[in-house]
Amino acid sequence: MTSSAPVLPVDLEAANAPIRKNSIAIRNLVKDYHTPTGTAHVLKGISFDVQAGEKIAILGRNGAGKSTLVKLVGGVERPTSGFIYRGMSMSWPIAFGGGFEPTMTGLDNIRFIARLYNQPIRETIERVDDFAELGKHLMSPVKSYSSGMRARLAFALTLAIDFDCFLIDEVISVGDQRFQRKSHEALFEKRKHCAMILISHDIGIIRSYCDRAVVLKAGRSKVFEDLDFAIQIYSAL
Amino acid sequence: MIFICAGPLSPNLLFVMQLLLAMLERVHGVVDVVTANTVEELRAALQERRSHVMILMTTCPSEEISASILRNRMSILLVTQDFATLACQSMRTTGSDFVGALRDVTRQVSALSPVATSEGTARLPIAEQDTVHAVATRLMLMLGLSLDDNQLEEACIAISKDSSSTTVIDAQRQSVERAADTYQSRDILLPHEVLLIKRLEESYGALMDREHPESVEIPTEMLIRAEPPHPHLEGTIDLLGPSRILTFGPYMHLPVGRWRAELLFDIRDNHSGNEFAMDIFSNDVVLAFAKTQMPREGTFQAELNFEITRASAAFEVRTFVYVGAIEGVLTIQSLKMVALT
Repeated sequence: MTSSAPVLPVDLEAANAPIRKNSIAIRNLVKDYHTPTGTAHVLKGISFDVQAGEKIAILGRNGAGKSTLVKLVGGVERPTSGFIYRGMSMSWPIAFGGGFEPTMTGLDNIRFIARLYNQPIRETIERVDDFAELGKHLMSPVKSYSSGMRARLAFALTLAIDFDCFLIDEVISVGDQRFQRKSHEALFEKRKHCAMILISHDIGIIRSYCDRAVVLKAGRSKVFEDLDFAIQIYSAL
Repeated sequence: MIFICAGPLSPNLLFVMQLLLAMLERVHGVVDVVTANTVEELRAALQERRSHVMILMTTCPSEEISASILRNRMSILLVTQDFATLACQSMRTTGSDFVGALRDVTRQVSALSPVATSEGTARLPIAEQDTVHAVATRLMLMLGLSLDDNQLEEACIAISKDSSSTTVIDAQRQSVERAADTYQSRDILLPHEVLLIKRLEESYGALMDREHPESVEIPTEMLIRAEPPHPHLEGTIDLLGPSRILTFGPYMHLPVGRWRAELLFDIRDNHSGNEFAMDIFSNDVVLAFAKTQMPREGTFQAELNFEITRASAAFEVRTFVYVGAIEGVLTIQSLKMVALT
């Protein structure tokens, strides 16, 4: 039995919360994809806020819409409806390499993005080179990079720019173990004053760094102040 | 010669036992009185037997003792009373609370089912305002006893300590242990308790009328919320939370046989989908289990077939939300146990 009445958001409190100046505010975000088999309603009215310095976890099973949400929040894709208020500078999804121009070299891509974000070019190149450890490969077109190299470049470039809020989608899966340790330290220790929207299946990371959580289920969301309660729900989804 | 008095523990049963004893003593002299609900208890009593005449009282017979009684085609006298008195008697005897006493009554009544519904059983009609003499006369006729008028009068006076025209309720208050307290408790039952008793009596009462009930309505307030402090079920259940048990209980009893549990429930605001599960648990065994996707909203009925093999083992109907839920509200509307032929 279905209802013809409009479906209210799960979290009316989050949907109706006042928006603060230095925050990221997501309100009634809807994302539909048109597929050969019909419209897929991936996100159905997501609402939450991220305040300065706050770290919020996005929890949900595979296919719940987490990565879509990150792409929308990061500005990679546009929502079908709803809005996102960005009162802080926000990174693209960490390790997201989709913004690179593949025919350009790694160096040219760094220069291009540094100009775009009004960052000093030489310093940005040095920071990326130091972190990504790609050496002479920076002179090669990005299309020749392996997926790991591309992810390291993207990760290093994200960290080279002073964002107020980082979008993190399974950061730990980038690179080898040593690179993962280095990424972890750079992100969670050196930038612990920054706000973060963190997607991870690693409950340990969520518990260690997040203050609150949004649980996504079937494209709907609920914000939890009690992280343990949210993890209990997520663990049984 | 064995006279069997069966029935849930009540002032009526204890009174009839005493009256029958007084009557038989006047005819046969020494008479043994035995209370047994298991074969072991009965065997032990028989070993210590002093007389060839014996009164066997059973209030919650095991399947084995019921089968033994029925196999030997013994005459059985069924003595019962209204559920309110039975519940108050149980409270006074076992020290349990009101709900616990109701469960105990369903245990006794269910266990008595094979005996109560057998052809060889006669129910002794007994009203509180009957005279002791009237009940004694009825007993004499039903059991084919040969007492002359003097013997009958003596037996009645032995019980009523006054005269044979004393009413049953007054005689019980005088002679039957805890009867006065039981009736006092019955007089001060709260309105909602009286209502609950009435609902149970509508279902279980058939057994004491020597009929097998077609269905047993379980009041939903006999179910228990799984969240501490485990209150009795009332109102709606918010599904928000991890996968978990939602309700358990009622820890009531059913006669041996095949049954179908029919749980009527209402769902709303279940937009993100949840799984609902239900099982029947008794005697440390899951008797039946089913799991289904909860629809977004509406009223639905879950049905589970199962078999009760021991009436003395309480059954549980447990409901679960089988996945973590971020929304949804469940209301259990009714729970009915339908007897399957």
